Amino acid sequence: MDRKALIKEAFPALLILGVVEAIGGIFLSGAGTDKVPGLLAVVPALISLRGNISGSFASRLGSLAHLGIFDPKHPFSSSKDGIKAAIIMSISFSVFASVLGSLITLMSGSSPDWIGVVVVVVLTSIVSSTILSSLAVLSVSFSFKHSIDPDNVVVPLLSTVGDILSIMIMAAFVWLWVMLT
Amino acid sequence: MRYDDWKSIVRESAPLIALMMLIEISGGGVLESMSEVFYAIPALLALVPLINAVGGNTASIIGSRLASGLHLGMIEPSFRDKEVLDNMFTVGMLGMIAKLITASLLFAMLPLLGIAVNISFWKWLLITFIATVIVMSVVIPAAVITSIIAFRKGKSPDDFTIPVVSTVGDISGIIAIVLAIKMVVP
Repeated sequence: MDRKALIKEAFPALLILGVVEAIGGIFLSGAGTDKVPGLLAVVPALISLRGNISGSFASRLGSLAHLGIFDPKHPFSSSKDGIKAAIIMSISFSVFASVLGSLITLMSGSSPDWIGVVVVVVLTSIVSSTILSSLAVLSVSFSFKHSIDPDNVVVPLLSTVGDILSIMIMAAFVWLWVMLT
Repeated sequence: MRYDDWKSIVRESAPLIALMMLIEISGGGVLESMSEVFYAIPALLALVPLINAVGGNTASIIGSRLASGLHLGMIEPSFRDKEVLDNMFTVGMLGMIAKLITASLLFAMLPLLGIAVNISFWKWLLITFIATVIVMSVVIPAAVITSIIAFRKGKSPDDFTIPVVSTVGDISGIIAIVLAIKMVVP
């Protein structure tokens, strides 16, 4: 656990992430969450589902790489179970979160757009989880090949890219949903 | 520890993620109830991902470093381990500096994109500082404690720490930003 390496690798990553987060913030303030009532209640769950699933997936890949089980030369075949688990959990938990989010909106006295919330959240979750799992595999094998500790770079990178990606994809699906209805 | 088959990954992660979802949805309820404030000063909504990410990135660096360190036997699973304290301090300082720089950039970027920033720069920075301090003081100890507990109980810290810490980070992020806004914006 070398502090200089931590500073040298983590600080630039944190700064870049900050810029990406800022972009996410801009998208969130412009996403039009007010057009799908109830969506704002699901936003934290949607974002954290990404962090939970892709974050632990990447972190697990990091440990598997350290232990020599993950093979950077055959990245996808040595991590297919992790990808499968990530996609199964993304779909089922996004349905769960949409229903709960709509319920809590209903309980707070507003009327949620049930179908809109479910459609937007589930589609966002499927698309972003597919992109992020692939990104995790590629970036862990990349950083391992270049002897950068994946723990310092890939995990924070992925958790932030995931947040922003979810917000951007969500904004796109909100836009589509408003167009179609 | 069987570590790489999908059923065991789902079995180990799912109950925790389900719990996290319940907590996140309560956070969503808080955000939903503040929605009028966020639509009145739209720029503040742009700070939400920034503050939420304090948990997501700073603490996950600590969490996953500890996870690997524990797996490799380089770190003792104890709260007094010097490496553990060093990690907490360094990552905390780095995270704070990075956050203040980013918030300043965001403040400069927003007007260029036509989003009204009807708040002063110092208040903006102060909101960021207060909210980051609140989140870090919750999330960094949480990362260390959950990693060590997970490791002692023979669970993989990767499957346990990251979801716990990012959820704690999100909830404390939402509460921290609401508190900071209430303290700074009269």
